[in-house]
Amino acid sequence: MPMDPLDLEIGLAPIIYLAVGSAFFFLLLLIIESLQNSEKFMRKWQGEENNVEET
Amino acid sequence: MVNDPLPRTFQQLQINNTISGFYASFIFSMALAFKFASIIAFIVKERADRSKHQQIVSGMNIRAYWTANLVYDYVLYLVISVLAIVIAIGLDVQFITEGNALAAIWMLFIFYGLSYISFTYVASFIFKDYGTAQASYYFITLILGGLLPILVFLLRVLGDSTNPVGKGLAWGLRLYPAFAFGEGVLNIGSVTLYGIR
Repeated sequence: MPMDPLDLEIGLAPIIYLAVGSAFFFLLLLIIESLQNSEKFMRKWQGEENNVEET
Repeated sequence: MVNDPLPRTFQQLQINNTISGFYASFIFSMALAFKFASIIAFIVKERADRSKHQQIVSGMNIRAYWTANLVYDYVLYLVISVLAIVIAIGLDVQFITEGNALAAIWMLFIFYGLSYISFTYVASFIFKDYGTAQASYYFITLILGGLLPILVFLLRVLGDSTNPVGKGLAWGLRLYPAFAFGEGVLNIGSVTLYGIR
């Protein structure tokens, strides 16, 4: 059975993955950045106490 | 002496196209890997040198930073992509110019840039040193984007027992943009082979 380059099993599936991926990875990037800028999250992530130790 | 060979058969021409697909998938992936390696090096260097931090402290919007980077890198990537496709057409790489193949190749290139540049930005958080980032990212892109699609292709065409394994692997591995691109190019080159087997 002849197939077309734009069939799902040939070229279309990778194209769809790449198109969705372009939006997904950019959103993921912005989410990571906003988490990195969140002091509350970074303290939790690094396992720090909320109270600053007095020296 | 007169050399007058018989014209190539349909099957021989299809095998030629498949071999061209192997080469194109590997060579495009290898060439574009340099571009993405240079992108990650710049991003990691900017973070390591604290110049990104300096810009944030000066009031820069972080979304504007990433969007500007994406636009700049994508425009440069498009120049390389257009050149690569024009050269392939100029050299009469038949599997690219036949039927809908050219449209499919264009779409692969257009979305690969957007997808893999964004992926590269996300991956840049893993690295601390820009030299290490550049070298290792180049090899990761080359192996996963250039060699893995060939392995999956072989699984798909070797036999009826390995065919579902190859197909199943492809669905998962396509989440990695370099693999999706390499597999797409290779599949387009082998479109008739898939059809006749």
